[in-house]
Amino acid sequence: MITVGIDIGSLSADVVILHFNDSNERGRVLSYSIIPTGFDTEKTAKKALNGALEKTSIDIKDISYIVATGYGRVNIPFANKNISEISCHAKGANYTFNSARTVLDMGGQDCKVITCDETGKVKSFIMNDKCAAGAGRSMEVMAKLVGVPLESVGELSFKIVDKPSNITSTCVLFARSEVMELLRKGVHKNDILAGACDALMNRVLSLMGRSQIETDLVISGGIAKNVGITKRIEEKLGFSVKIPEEPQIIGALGAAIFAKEILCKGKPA
Amino acid sequence: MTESDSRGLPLKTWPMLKEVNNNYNFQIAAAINEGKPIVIASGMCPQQLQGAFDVVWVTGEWYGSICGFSRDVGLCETAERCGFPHETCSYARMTIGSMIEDRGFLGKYPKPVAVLGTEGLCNVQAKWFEALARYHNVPFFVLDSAPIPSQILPEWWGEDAVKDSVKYYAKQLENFIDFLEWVTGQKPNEEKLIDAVITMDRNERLWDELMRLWRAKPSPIAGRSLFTFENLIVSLPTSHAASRVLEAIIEELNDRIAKGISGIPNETIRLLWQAQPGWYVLGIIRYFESQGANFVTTPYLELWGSHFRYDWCKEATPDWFREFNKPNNFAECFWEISKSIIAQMTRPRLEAGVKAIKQMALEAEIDGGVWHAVRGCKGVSYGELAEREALRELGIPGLILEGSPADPRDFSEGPALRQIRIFIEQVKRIKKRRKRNC
Amino acid sequence: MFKELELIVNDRHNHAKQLKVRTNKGIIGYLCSYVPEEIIYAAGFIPVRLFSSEEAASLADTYMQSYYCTFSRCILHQALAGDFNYLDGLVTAYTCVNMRLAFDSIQLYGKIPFSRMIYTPGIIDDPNSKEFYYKELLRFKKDMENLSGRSINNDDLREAIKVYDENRSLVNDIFKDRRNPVPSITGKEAYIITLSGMLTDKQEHNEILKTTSKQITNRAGMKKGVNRLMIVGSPLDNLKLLDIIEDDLDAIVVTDDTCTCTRYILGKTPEENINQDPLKAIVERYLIKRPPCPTKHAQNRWLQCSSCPFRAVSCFLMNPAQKKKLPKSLIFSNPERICRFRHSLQLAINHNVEGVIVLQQKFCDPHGFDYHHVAQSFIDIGIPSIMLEIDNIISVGQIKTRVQAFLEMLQPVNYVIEPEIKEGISLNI
Repeated sequence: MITVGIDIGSLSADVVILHFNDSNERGRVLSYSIIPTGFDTEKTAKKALNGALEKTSIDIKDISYIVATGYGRVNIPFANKNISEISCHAKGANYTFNSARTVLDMGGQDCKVITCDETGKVKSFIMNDKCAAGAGRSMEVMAKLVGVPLESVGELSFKIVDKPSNITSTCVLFARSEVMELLRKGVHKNDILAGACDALMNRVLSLMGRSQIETDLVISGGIAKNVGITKRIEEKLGFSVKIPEEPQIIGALGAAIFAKEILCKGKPA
Repeated sequence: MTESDSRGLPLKTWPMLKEVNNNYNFQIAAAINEGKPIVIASGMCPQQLQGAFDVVWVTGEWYGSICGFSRDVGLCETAERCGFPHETCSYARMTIGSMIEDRGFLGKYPKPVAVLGTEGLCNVQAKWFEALARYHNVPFFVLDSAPIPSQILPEWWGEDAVKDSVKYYAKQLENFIDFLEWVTGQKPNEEKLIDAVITMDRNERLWDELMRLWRAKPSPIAGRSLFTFENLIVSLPTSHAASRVLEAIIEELNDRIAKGISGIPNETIRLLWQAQPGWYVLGIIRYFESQGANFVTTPYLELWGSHFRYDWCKEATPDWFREFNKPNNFAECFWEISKSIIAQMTRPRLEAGVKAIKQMALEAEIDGGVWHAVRGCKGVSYGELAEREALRELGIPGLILEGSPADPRDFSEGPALRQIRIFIEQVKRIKKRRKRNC
Repeated sequence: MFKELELIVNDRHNHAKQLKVRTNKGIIGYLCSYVPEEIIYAAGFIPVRLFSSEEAASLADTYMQSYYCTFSRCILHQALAGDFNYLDGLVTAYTCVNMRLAFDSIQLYGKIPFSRMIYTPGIIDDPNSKEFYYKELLRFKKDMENLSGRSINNDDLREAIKVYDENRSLVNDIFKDRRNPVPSITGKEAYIITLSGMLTDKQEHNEILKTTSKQITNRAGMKKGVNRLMIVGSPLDNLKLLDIIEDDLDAIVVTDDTCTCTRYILGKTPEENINQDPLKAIVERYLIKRPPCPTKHAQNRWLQCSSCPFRAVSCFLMNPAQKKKLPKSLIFSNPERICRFRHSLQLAINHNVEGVIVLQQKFCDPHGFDYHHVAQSFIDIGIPSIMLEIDNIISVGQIKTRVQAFLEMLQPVNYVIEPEIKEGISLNI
């Protein structure tokens, strides 16, 4: 049995292909692909699926069921079902770490905190998809402003020269001018990055504070690759977090697992 | 917090004021520790009633403002975690957070035996206290306001409509006193109530005088100081100690005016402020002063006096409504209280509010206006934009600063300072132009 | 089936203008459901409620700060843009500070010929309030007489009450069916019924309802076995939200506690007062009989608690010993609907609600402060809820994600296999 999960996000589209020998098996990931989302959601989905299939020896006819998720999930006519990214992220995190009870997922444009039970079923969720200051976009803006690649933001944010800057603007756009002023005054870019990471961490924690956080906490999405945020969260909360090897595909992974569950428990219509 | 006037000297009355304010804090802290009956009330509850009973009366807004002054953001976050939206009143969130965490600037949270809310100025003053009462599981009473003359449109209504309003509120006060008797288990003391009513009226008139002296040219006191004096009229309006402080400051200001001493070293422009300041960032006002701009009047503080609230509706107010008659018994006390409080509690029609602020601006000879658009406080910031438009028509420039009274996260200092810098330059330019044209 | 009514909702301004020409009556706009429409109707006007629209409230920015609710700011925007130029007057009740500022600003800067704020008391069960409100409504009646140029006598009031009560009764009869396992109307249709009623002449609305209700019984093709939801919270006037919940996702809204639907039509005018003094009957109906808004307070609400079937952990639970000693002067009448929470819990039970959507209009204080207790009291009786923050412009994607996730929480994923992948799908771009 081969199932596929497609996660069409606002910035990236991910596809995961899972293989199961039988319905009781945990299954294994055959392949996955991550590509940027284009204007045409359906085309993007096909391209991503193509990309994943190319890394395997299987053909589209071998696929038993496709579940789509993410904001573009309704525009994929060849998907059998669409399920919200909240349910899919919980499922995917739970599959990766069976002890997962809270999932923090932060992509470029939104941030979600999801609590789930031992089967990965959602118990509660909080989303912030209205303000870029609480999402990965703010990190991109900061990295560009101080002139470092996004990947090195985390590391540099710990190499503090004097002390972390206090960035008071809540809005990313206003924070830009504040940061430029700091740069003009000669504040070291590491200190600015430390301040930016502190600010983002505080926003994330305040979102998380509205849920009952239970360990283990899994962090997924682009932000999981930023040690500047993940380590700070660990320090603040006082326990270590679990980070998947490939944090961006958790949604698609969960979708593919749902596909299998539907196939195994469903009856012909 | 000592201010330096144009001689470089602070106010002589400061130590006296500090002592009275601190005593108030100690009294409440002691009440919490000793388990004395505490009542938490909205700022628009008639304070005179606390004279009739031996209870410690904590004003919710005062409590929230000091929490804001101490920048305790954690309290707001606790309230938001429980589902109270970030966009609502910052005083409410601070108080509710303090209640849930059972901590505050007085140590523990002042657990009440009863909670008193009001409805009329805004909806939050009732809903917030309802949430407190529900949490503590204690009796809750709401006082409703009544329309005041400036609310009433048609001429043909005449005095009877005003009498109906006063009667409505006075009847509520009868129920209110029954309620307080029930929760405290004490009989109301008529003599003390009469004294409280008379003292509060006196303090309100003293406050009027203080407001009038503040507007002298140059102003004899830094505007920021008045916000510290505000506690007297908000939390201690029925106390004789407050009367003494007010008399002292009035004497001192008269002295300063006679000698031409100005409150800030170099008063070049005179500004109007509207709404509460951000209690956590009073330094912003210091910045104005450093640029020679002094705040010389604000409707927000004038409202606590006995004069301005009738200014909203001069033509429509019968004389008996604004006159104070010494009461001799409970019923007369209720009548006097009723008249004074409903004039304060209900926002007037926008038209009346706009007219009043225009008059205030001309009387105080201001060069510009600063409106603190306080998020979550719709009662106080009601009509701010219309007021700014109205003053603009008079050629007086205005600045809107977004912030909140008690939640530091709602205010961005950097952008605000920039806006203030630009605004002060604009005001100075316009003033120069006006002088040249005269 | 409800096309005629839906058109009234979607094309409300034109409908009002046509109504004016057709009936030769003036149109009085009103902002709040506490406005006693019967008095306006008795004066010969047609009361029409003002709602928000799906556009940025840019004109309101000059007079209303951004932290007032968009519902009110949108109404101000429309007034300043001239969309309400057909109104002969504007009336509102003293309830919510947001609507008050919109009303005041329209009074000052809009060009409406007549405006009147009715002082509705904040305390609803105190006899003192009822007495005061009666006097206030006498004054309002006089204002309406002056505006219309004719007097309003008790028979006129009785006639208006009859029309309005008939409307409430007709809508209630249609809504009763929503308790069934397969309701004959969707939530969207319920809102179309009530919203259209607020936007047109009540007598005409009654006629349409009488015809429609016959067609509703045993209506075919209604959804079976979908999640039953309830909407509680800020006023809902945008049908798009219901499209998302009921059409795009598989659920049905079976009841609500919002002032644009159930809270508007529940509460009949008490018969015993109508003959004697119809104005007194109107006072009773608007203060006590109708479900309250969070801005209204019943001093004695907690007296009901010991007999409340939902004595939820989080409610007011007064010490029963204290209650006995309560002075007589403070014991007021004890009608059924004065506790908003008990009322909405009862509705949820009656309609077998599985999940509650709490609508929170951004910057809505009254509902914002109630939210904590609403959510907690539903949890106490085992019904999960989700808070949806809304604005006048519905962001479809964000709402859909949240509601879909909520529905997925409520029940296991529907394990019915969809049709196989169509053959011949090309993966080439």
